[in-house]
Amino acid sequence: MKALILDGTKSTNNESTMIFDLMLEELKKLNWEVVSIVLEDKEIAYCTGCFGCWVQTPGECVIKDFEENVVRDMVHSDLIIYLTSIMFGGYSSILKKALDRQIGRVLPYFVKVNGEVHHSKRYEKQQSLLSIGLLDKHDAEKEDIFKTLVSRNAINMWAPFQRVIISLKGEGVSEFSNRFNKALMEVEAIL
Amino acid sequence: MSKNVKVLLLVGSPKSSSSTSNSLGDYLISRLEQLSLTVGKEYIYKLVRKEDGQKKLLTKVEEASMIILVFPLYIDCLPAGVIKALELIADHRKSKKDRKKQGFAIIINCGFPESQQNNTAVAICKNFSREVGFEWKGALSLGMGGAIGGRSLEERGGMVRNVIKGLDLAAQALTEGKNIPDEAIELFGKKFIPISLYTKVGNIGWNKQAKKYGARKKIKDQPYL
Repeated sequence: MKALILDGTKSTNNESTMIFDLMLEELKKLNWEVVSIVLEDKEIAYCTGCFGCWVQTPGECVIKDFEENVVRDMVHSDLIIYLTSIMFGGYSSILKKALDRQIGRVLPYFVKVNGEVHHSKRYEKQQSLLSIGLLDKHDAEKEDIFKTLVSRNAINMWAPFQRVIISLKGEGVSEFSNRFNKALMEVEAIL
Repeated sequence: MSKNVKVLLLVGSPKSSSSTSNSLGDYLISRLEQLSLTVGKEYIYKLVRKEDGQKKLLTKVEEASMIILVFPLYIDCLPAGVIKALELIADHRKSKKDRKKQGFAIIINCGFPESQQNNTAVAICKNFSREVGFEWKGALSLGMGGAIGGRSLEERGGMVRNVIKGLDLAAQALTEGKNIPDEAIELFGKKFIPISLYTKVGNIGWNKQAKKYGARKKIKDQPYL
C-alpha cells in the first residue's frame, strides 16, 4: 500500500508540522509505504492551460520541472493525501499549483458520469483521496465548501474513495490520530 | 453609483490575452466604458509571479472601487495563480484599518457543458469577498467555454447572444451600483448548443489537436506505468 502526501502548507505553520508527523506515524503503524512532498520547497511552475499534456505529449506536462515527480508518484500510489490550510473554503495556492498540473492523469475525452460530463480515465488504477484541511477555528461555511470541493475533485479524478478531515488549531493529538487512522482503515478496506 | 468609479478587471487565466476569460472581460469592459465607467485591466498571471508584480496588484486593487475577477475553472476551483492573488489581497487587507467600500463580482467559465460545475469556485470567491470586506455583487457562470475558445464574442456571433445579453444586463446593474440581476445570471449560464453536440465536437477537436502535434496515436498513452 503506497501513500503520497502532498504538503501544501507554509513552513511557518507549526500546526501543519505536527499534523504531518502524526500522519507519518499512523501510516507507518499500518505498514504504508509513504512518499511525502513538501511543495513549498519545490520548483513547480504554474499550469499554462495549454493542454499539451493531452494533445502534445499525452499524459506528461510539456513543462519539465518537479511536477513530473508529483504526477509519477500520484500514478503509483493507492492513496493521495492533501495537507492544506483552508483558504476561503478551498486549497492553498501552494497545493493548487501542483494539482493544476495533474490533469494528464485523465484523458481529454468527455464522458458522462451520473448525468454530468467529465474526462475519461487514462489509467486503470485509481487513487483514493484524503484531504486534511487546517483551520484556526470552526467555520461551517468554509468546511462545507472544502468538503464539496474534495468530493468534486474525487469525481473528476476518478478517486474510488474520498474523505475529508478538518483539523482545528489546538485540536488534541489523539483526536486527529484517531480520525486519520479510521480514514486509513476505510481506504484499506477497498484495496 | 457615481460615473467616475474605477473598475478593475482582473483576468485570471494563464492564457492571458488569448483566453476565453479575456474575451468575456473585454466585452464587459466595452459595455462599462459605454456607460461612462473607467475600467483598467490586469492579467493576474503576469503579476503574481514576482514581488513587484504582486505590489502592483495590491495597489491596483486598493485604487479600484469595484473589482471584477474573470477566470476559468481549474479542477473544480480557481487556478493556482488566482488563489495566490486572493491570498495576497487578503493578507494585505488584514493589515489595513480603514477599508473603503469596494464591490466585487466574478465571471467564471468552464470547459464542461454544465455551468453548475462552477458552483464550488463561486462559493470560494463569495467566501473570499466576505472575508476581506468586499461587497459581493454577484457571479456570472458559464459552461461550454471551449466553444468560445478565446475568440471575441462579436466573432462568435449568434451562438453567444445570451452570453452577450447577460453581460449587457450585468454591466447596466453594476454601473447603477446594483448586484448582478438573476436575469443576467440565467441568460449568461444558458447552454448555447446541445450537450451531445458540444461533447462530440469537443472529442473530435482533441483528436485534431493531437494530430497536429503528431500525437494522435499516443493520445491514450500511460507514460508513468
